[in-house]
Amino acid sequence: MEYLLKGRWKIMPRRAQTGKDVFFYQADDEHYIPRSVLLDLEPRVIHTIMNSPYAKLYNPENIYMSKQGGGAGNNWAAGFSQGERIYDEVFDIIDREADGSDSLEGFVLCHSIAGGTGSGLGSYILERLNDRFPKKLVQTYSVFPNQDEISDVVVQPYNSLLTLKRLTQSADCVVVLDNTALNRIASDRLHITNPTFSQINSLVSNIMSVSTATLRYPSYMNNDLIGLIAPLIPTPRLHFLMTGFTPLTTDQEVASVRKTTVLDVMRRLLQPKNMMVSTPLDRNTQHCYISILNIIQGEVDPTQVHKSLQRIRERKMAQFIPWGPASIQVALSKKSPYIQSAHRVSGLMLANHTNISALFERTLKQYDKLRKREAFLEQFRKENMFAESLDELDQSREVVQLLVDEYVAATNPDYLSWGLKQGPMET
Amino acid sequence: MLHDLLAAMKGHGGGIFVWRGSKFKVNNDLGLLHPCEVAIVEEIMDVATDFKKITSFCDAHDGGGVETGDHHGGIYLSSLSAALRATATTTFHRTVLELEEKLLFDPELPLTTALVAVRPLGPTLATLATLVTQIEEKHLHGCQILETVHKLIALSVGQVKEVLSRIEQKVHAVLYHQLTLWLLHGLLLDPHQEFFISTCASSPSSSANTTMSTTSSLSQQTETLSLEESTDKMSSTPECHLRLEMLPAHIPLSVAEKVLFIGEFILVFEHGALRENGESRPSLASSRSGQVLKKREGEFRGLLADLAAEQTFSVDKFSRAIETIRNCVSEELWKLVMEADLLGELSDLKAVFLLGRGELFQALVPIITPFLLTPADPCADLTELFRSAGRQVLMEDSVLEKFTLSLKMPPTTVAATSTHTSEEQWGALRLTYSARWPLHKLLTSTAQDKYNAIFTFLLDVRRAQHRLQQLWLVQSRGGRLGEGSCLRWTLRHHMALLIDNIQYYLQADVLESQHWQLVKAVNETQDYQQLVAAHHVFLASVAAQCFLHSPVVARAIHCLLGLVHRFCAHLESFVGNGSTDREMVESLHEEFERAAAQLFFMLSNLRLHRAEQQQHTSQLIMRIDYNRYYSRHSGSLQRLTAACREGQ
Repeated sequence: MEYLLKGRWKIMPRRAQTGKDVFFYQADDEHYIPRSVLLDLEPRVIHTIMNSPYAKLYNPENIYMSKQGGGAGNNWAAGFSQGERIYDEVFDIIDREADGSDSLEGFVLCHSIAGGTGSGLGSYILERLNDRFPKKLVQTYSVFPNQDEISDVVVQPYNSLLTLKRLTQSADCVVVLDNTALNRIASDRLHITNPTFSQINSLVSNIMSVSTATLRYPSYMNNDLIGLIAPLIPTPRLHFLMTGFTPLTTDQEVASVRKTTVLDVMRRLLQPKNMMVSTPLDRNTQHCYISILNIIQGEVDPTQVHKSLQRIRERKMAQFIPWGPASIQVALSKKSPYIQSAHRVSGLMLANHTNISALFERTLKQYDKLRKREAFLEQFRKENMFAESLDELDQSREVVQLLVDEYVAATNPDYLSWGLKQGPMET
Repeated sequence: MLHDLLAAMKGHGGGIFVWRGSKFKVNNDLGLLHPCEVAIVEEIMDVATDFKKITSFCDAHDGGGVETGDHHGGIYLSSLSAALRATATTTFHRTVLELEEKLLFDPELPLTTALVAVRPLGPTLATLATLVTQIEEKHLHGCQILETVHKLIALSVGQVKEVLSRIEQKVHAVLYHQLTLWLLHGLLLDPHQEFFISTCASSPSSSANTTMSTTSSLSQQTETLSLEESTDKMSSTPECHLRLEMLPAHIPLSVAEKVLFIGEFILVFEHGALRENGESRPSLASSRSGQVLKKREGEFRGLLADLAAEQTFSVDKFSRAIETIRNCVSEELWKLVMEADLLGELSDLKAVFLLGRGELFQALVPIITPFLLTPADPCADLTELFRSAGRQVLMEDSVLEKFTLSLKMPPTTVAATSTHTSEEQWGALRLTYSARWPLHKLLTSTAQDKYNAIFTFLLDVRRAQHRLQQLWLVQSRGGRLGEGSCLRWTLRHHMALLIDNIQYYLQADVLESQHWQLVKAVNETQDYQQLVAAHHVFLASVAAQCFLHSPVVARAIHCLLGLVHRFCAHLESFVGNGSTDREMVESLHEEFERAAAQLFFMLSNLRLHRAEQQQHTSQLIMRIDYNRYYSRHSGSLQRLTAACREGQ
């Protein structure tokens, strides 16, 4: 249950600025084929896809399953080192897709951070993409483990920590999908007692689809990946984004239609219960928004947007950083004509909020607990990386701690001088 | 002697009643008349003088265009003379005839009888003689005559008024005839230039165009192309305009404008339909050819005929009739324009001129930048670059083909081409839109100039935004090293945020909502002229809300954009070695903060003092000051600015 997208890898070389061709290309028979690469170290998940109605969607040449088929054994180090072994084969596929794109702008990477494949192989691919395509963007959709349940992956804190280091250093933008929040939303908001993979996945795919709407449809702003994420990320490390979506519905719930206006949508997007990241209330720090982008879809009177922004500002519904200008940016986008929706207006929020540091702090705490007892490190020591020392773990902890500190510092008016202090340490 | 008198009354002088100068004089040298008779005879002779003036006028102008080319010909004059003959002179003739009969019956007829008979006609003939004299003295012709007649009616009473009214009715008949042809068929039957509307086939602008194209060597090809097009258009659809000197004062200007509109559009649209027939849109054109008024033609003909039959000319009724026809024409045109997919064209215009298709410009800016870095390359086919960018973002060819992109440098600096900076070249980019047949009257080159002014401004903002975004990538790759990078990042972020907010304001608050209102207005009205007005309002308010009319704000924004480019250029040049000049960044930072605060300050001032700009100004202020950063910090920054100024 924890890693809903476990092992299912999709790397989508993104062709910039090409309308419906952004994520797809047209095959000779005029069918659209996604520019995606599916990677796994074990066959189970990909086999499920290949037996589903979507089997024919993918280019079979872009599906890679490890020859051994043994998986990474929920071990980051195993995933990472297997990555080194399959490097050539994987990057053959990626290079082919990249060459086939007219104007490649970047990569979108979907993975989980808790298991072995998503975290280990994911980290490896992330680093290599950076080496190989230094001028291309890398955006990830990263699934964080569910904190409400006891994990069957005991080394999960190690895996998460090691992956977080790569996400901090090698990714340009990370969209955090927190399984805790996703499950909570499914049970509390959608009233599904035992949410299935497909129900949760539909939530996730909804977010992914709306967050790319301005790239795929003609619009006046946020037309490419960089235009979408650059305004949200003021400084390079603060690139972990939360998402919120409203109205939340499932197929069964279409009957109960609420009246939705732009203000309703924008107000609900600011409520924590609609966020796809679950963060505890921190009374010590005044957490705040660094930046917000709302993507509103549907029939919208553009004058309503301004009125809603004004109302939110008057009521002080959103707390912003004290050290610089910040605002809610609203992009109006088209809705897919193929998707029926009972709601007139729907909205997605991409937000950079300092509170996301709580998620990393949680990982640090769990890591510290395990590390104190030197628990479960044998599996890691088997791999070259950790054979001699556990420095990699210590370094990763340092990087993540610095990230948490930076997010906390960003809540203070003197963040800029914190940045200056830290400046020389960046190397 | 009485016979002599009668002859003189008919206009033929003799020994006693001599035509001298422009007047009959009584020659009493022989003493035939008693002094008291002289007075009577003189009074009669005054009438006879008037009569002779009128008849000689009529003789000159009977049959209209005898003296063509001269100012004195014309249908109006001939109809006036016909009317004069029909009314006043016949009555006078009859009176004289009766007198003669009486004289034959009674040779001793007293002179007073003649006076009594003639006297009632005196005022009428006197007025008419004044009319005739006025016309001849001022060389009035055409519709100007209507004005004179109408004025005289207002001044006269009783029988005179009656006679004048009949004359006016006759003369107006000519006007109605011309109006009928003009209003119903767009035909201008006016060989003597008498109507208050005229068409001219050769516009002076075309000659100006020629000189332009010979002097500018930059984009000669496109110039000549457009020149050919324009002359082509000119010959097939002549320009119509009002001739104010010919417009009778009693017809209000607004009504005359309506008349002009109706005829012009029937002319333009029907001719256009015929010309386009068999070309691009045969179905639409042929089904519409000559159809603009067909259904109600009879009705309107009747309406005008009724008006012509009215005894007196009523401005009110006339205006109402014209308004009825205008409504019909305007509605037909509205339908026609809507059928020609006006809304689609408007959104195409918004997509390109107003940067509604952001991805198009996201693709175009990097493509076109190298061509504008160096002094204008005459070989660069900007239109082709534009179209390739459009194809890259999968825009339909049919849309792209309507636009051409070119550089239009101000002609004065043509000699010094090499000195153009790339900024100037960006500012000189012009889009041209070739409007299809029924829409070319709406999207004229004047309208396109307005579109271009907005386009230039929007493109400036877009360009700065694009450069800052690219810098984000450069920074995140190269900028992780080195000290002071935090300031570089936050400065870039502040700049980007400000530009983004301006951009959101422009696109969402201004363009999106104005376009929404325009579409709503176009759909709600059924009237072409209101549609035109709505389009004008759209362009005017967009320009105003882009602060194109507020030099202070425009300059502040321009200054900010300049700083953005300087900052980007600075960082881009230091990409490789990672260490940038920290002082430089700090001074840029200070300058930017000051400029941003200044913009904020100016906008706040504008909001306070200009009521009409309050709404959109406060929209922009809200966007850039959403978390009240500027309102909190601008106070101290203003002081800083003031201190700096004092220091200098």
